[in-house]
Amino acid sequence: MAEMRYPIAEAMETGHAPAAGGGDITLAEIRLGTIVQLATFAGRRDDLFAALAGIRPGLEPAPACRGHDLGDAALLTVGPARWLVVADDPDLAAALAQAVAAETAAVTDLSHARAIVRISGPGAARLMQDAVAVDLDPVINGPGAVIQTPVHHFNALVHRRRDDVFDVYAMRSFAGPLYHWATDAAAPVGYTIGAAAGLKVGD
Amino acid sequence: MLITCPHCGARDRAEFTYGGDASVPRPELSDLDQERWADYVYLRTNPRGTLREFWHHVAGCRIWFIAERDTVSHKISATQALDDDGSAER
Ligand SMILES: [Zn+2]
Repeated sequence: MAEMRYPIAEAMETGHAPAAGGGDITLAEIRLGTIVQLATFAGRRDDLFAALAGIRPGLEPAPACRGHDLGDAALLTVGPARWLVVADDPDLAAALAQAVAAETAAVTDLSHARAIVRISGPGAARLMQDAVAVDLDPVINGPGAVIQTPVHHFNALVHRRRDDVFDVYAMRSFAGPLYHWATDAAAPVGYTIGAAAGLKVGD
Repeated sequence: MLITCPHCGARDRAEFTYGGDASVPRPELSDLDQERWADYVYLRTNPRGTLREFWHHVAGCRIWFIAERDTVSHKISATQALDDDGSAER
């Protein structure tokens, strides 16, 4: 397994906090060991989830545009018969490839292919609502929502993990635009760069 | 303008791309008649009123689906998912 490299590691200087505002926002790079897309072939959905239950109980089907969040791993429904498994554990990608039969689903390892910024804090929902043309009212897209939509002219996946915790995924070639958008958008209220972290939000 | 993706629900029109008239039947792949293929590839009726069209939720879940759009008012009266063989799923 090649060593993972994270695309915005150099740009995000931990502890950096521009003076403006009250610092309602924390930005942090999320570094995951596993990002795998699973796309089932016709009639094979139950086979897929039986295989998943064998290696990581709790990775169950979630409704459209929602995710099951297990803390250090999550299953996100991203399309009909298409899911993302994201996890801290770098060995889970290989385990998924092993456990899911070739005739059940296409298993695509995207672990190197995404850049992720976590936007959290009391100002996070307001910042995100300015960025997406999707209603972030907690009744409609509260915690658990998985929203694929453009953010500042690049396509992104937004996983709302808590009321005020949003993980924004972009193709890794958009790591620069993702980082610059996040810092520009957060500048009016002030932000702090948090240490790079894994999926777990912490309580 | 909002378009209702069968998977994601109502989303901004900017998330979608237009895929053309969905009512044009494709000839059998074994059909060697050049005129029928030319008609299929190039000829469109451009009706005034309701048209069944392919749309792609390219910035969202990336599925293709069918929308019934009024070509005068742009009102979309229905959207419908496709399954793999091109027939309606729901
Ligand atoms: Zn969609």
